[in-house]
Amino acid sequence: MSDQLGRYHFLAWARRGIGGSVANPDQGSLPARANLGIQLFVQVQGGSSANPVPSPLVNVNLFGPGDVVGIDPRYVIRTDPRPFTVNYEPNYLCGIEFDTPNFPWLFTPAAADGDRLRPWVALIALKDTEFSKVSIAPNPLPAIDVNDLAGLHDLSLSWNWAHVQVTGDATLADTLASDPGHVISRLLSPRRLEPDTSYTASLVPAFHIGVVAGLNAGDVSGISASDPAWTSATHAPLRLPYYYSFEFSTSDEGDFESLVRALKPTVLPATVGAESMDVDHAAAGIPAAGGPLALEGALESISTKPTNWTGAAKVAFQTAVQTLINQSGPTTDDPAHPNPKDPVIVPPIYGRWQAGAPTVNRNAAGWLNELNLDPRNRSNAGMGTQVVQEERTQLMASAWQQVSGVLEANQMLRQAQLARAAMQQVYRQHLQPAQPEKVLNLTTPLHARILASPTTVKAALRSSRVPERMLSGTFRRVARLPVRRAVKTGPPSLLSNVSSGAIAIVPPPKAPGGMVAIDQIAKTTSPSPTAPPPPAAPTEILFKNFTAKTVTDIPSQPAFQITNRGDPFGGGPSAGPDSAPAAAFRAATGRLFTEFERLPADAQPAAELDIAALSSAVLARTNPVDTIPRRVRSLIFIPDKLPWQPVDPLETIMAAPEFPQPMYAPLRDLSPAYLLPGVDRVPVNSVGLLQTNQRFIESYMAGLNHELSRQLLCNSYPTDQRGSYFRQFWDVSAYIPQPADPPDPAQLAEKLKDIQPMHTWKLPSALGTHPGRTDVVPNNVVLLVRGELFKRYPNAIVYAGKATRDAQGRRVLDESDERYPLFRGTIPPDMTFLGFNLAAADARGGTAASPDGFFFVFQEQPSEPRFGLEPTAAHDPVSRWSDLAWTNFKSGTGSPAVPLPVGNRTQADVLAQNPWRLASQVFGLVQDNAPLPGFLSPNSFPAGVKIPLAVPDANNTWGQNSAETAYILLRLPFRVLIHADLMLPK
Amino acid sequence: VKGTLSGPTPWHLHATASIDLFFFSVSASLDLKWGSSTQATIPQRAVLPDLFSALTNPASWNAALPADTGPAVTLTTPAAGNPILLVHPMGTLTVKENVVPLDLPIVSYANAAPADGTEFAIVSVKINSNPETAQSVQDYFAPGQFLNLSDADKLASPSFERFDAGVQIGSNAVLAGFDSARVVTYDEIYIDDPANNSRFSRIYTMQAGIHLALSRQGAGFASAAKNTGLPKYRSNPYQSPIAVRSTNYVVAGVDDLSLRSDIVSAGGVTFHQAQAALRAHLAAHPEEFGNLQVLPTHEVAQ
Repeated sequence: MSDQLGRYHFLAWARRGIGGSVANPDQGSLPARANLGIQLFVQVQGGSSANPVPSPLVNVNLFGPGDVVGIDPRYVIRTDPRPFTVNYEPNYLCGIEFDTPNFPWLFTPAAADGDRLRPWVALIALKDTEFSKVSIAPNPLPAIDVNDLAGLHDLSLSWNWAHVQVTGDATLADTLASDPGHVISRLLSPRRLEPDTSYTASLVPAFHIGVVAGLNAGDVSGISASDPAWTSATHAPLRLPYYYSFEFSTSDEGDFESLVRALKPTVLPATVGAESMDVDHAAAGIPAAGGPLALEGALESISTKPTNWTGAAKVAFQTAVQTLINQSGPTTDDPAHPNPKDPVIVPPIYGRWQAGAPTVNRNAAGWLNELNLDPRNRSNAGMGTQVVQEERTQLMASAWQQVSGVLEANQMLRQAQLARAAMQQVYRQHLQPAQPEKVLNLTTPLHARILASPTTVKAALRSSRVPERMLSGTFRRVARLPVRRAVKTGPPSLLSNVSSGAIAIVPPPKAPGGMVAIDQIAKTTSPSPTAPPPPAAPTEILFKNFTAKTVTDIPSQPAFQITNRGDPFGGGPSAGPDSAPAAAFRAATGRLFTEFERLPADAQPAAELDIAALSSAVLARTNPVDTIPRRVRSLIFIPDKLPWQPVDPLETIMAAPEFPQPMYAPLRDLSPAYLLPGVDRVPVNSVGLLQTNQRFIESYMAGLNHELSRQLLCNSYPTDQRGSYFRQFWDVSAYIPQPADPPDPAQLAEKLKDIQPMHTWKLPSALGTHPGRTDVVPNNVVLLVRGELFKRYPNAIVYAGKATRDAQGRRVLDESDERYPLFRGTIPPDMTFLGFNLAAADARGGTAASPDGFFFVFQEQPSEPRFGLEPTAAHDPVSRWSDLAWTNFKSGTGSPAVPLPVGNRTQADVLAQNPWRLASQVFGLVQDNAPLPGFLSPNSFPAGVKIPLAVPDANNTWGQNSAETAYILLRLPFRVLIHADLMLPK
Repeated sequence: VKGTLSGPTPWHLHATASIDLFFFSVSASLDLKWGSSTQATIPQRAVLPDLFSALTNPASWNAALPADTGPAVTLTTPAAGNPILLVHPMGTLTVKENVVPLDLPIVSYANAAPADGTEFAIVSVKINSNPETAQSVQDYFAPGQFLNLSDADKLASPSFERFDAGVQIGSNAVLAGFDSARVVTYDEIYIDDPANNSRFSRIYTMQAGIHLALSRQGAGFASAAKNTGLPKYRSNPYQSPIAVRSTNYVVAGVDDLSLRSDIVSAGGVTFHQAQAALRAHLAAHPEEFGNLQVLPTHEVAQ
């Protein structure tokens, strides 16, 4: 992936939201508003009608071009050229870019016809002679009267001049979701510009209904169609309202290279970076601090030095300030340490919460004392306070958004704390001391939900001999179990008696009256001293011994007889086999007992219920200390990035917001002189060397953090006040990760912070010794570039690249060592400063580490390409779209290459070698020699073009759609390399 | 005098009257029936007409802009009294009704029995006769109004729960036309000597990673639309970090609390949806009666 080349994607049109459902293609007359007939289909179960049942049609209209009476200018992110450019190259087209990808087609009441969809706005560029401004502004939009319609392009072909640009290879939807800044839309004007001419470009409605709405306060009654705002049949003057407008002129030396060449190395004076501050009358009761002190900025010239502040005046001043601000030290509402004096409002001790120190001491070293007792540092911190106060609405909006949901979550946590406390009372008083049986009784409805490992209490109950219903409410009522406060001791309860078997749920059946059971006999025939011993032991006539084996085990009875009742026993042989009656009796009894044995035995009674174990399981699992946090934490989702692991799981959530935005920007917006005092002493078109002032950065960031702590407290934000919410001073958004950098974006962001978290600053450490970055070389190059370059190309890229020598001995770029800026910032309109991880000596060259020095590479912003055509074709035929020239569109035949004169004029040489630097002159010469069309049109094709097959250029054809047109018209941006020894002041 | 009157139709009056005089008593009884002899039934009420009138009511519709964008233009105020709904083309269209919960079998509707069906669901949406993708949206309903709940259930179960109430249309649609990709190329020139002409060196291309990083300094990222007003300090715009969720329920075994994801998915649903799913399951598998229960997700054995 790493060797993949950067690409942009041009898309012919884009739609987002419900507008994507518009169906009628962009052909013929269009309605005033797109209509959507929406039908919902309802599936009905258990009904009689046929499924699905369609709902009645719901008609929804989308706002159309006639409903727009203005655009938010914030959505115009760039115009090409920038407003009031005086030297635009006339061979380029003028264009305008919008923040949202679908903006140009948003209100077009039609769907794309293939890949062609006309935008609802058009960009026209008119010469000053072709229009006049309407003196009485109509309502609601300003307007122009177009006197010469020749300056207006054909709106039926306007689909060709709007496209979407996506940076990178991700899809439009993905890019929009992850990095919406990579997606923009652009509208071009197809008009050919003339050299040395002034133009006014206007963004106007492309539909007549939009024109009427813009002129008549949105009243479009009587118009029911969206027709073009002008056609070939329209007569002058045509009054057009405009949404946005900018002026520019075409001329020479407005190209990128000329603007880079204009920059001159300059030594910045020591006064750039410091202003004198008078500290004679700081406040009532505060003595003067002595002579003027230099108030330094975040940036200062390399020759700026801090004022050495010493002497008696310093002592007097600091003593007075310390006495004043330390009054806020004791917490006045602390009942343990009541403050005898009335509370006073005094200037703040910046950073006291982050430092965890309530007072300052002028005799001790350390950043807190330096920060609060030096008027220069206090001023810097005060700037931070001012920034936070100015931006507090936006900051608080973001702070709340970063923890959105925290209030609801904390409310739930507080309620849970209350619930836990209340339920613990119940649990301790009623459940814990109760007898185990009581516990089981009370918690019956929970038994199916409590795991008494590995099964639930209910399952344990079911598999025991205790019937489930014994724990039901009904049983309790019937059995009249005492409902009173349970005590630990007492007679075994019914439940434990049933469980132990002491009480049988089903008692053994009683014999019918008069029946004598075998076992009874066994009991009554106990041995008696008078009676002779019975033939068998009494146990043998227990029912359980009625087995066939018992019968066979009886020794043979040769004398066995069966006699009538009362008859005497006849006697018989004493040995031998069974007598016949005995054999018969034995056989019969044996059969009977065999039958007995076949009778099913009574099942073993089910296991006893382990009441104590179950009850302790129930108690353990119903403890509110566990159950309530478990439930609440299952309902509250806290993201990983919020490291919230309190000891008590029901502790309310505390968080600190974080602002990764570069905080130099609001300071600059407050006043550029705060950032760089003496900014107005920087000459135009200069390159100077600066140094950064870490003391300023730390003081300012401390002020920001301190003031935001106060704001958070004031807004009941759930935080302690010790966070370092702001740690990014410089803009590192375009930082290019180096091989040694951590791959994780969060770790990388941490590495690029400008200060360490304030609570980690050691109290004795000096102010300015807590930089976030530790890998920057000492005396690194910080460039201040002031020039027209950054007026025209505010987002141009500058970086340093190592120089080496090629075969001819020329200095060329060695791509193995490129130093992209550590940070960059701008001071509008024309200043940009860049910090490099590069020592100035190494940049110039001649050092051991860098014998050939470094180049500074100035290159156009890759996401801001420019569109147009070359003035004249360098080749015939043209084999690359990037070489396509206006002369390829000339009428008539002949070579598209117009020869440029080479003479002895000094400019002629430039003309021949670097024609782009004199674009206006070149284009004037071309115009004189070739009849060029006034407009580009998808219907007039370029001549003299032969694109080879199988190159990406071959996939793009003129006049197909706006994406291919954008590909063809894109002019190659420039990058200009100039060696540091030509750029850096000596 | 004693009497009982029962009704409604047929009305049944049974009365006895007796008078005790000194030695004897006279009594008379009365037994009367009147009214239609057919049994009175619970009144019925059709749901679909109410549902459709709610779904076609313009007040039930709204079109919200995507979270990351603003309206970008000033729009006229539409003429009053226009019956046709007018929405922003970038919006996401949402329709929501509060007549009846969707995707939930109901037995009661407006104190009557639903006459024309027991479960309603929006299964598809067509715009200009073309099928359109739609996501369901939820709203709070009181299940007690639509289900037969015992008093105990009414007390024990949540009073309001979120059920499907409508659909959202066009929420994820980002459409685009022809895509033409172009490698980023530069004309690279050296200025060796400011007094002389520059020299063209080559066509320069850059790595994709560098291109993406450098583009972060471009006009798209510096856009005032993204960096002014309340979004100025927005860090991660579209994510709501801390969330409080409503309790979700699953079906689990009574014996071992094992999750029955075949009945209700592990993520859980509302209490009454879980109960409906459990009822349907028990109807098909009566042998599991008494062995399954509805539990909040956090109580289930993990």
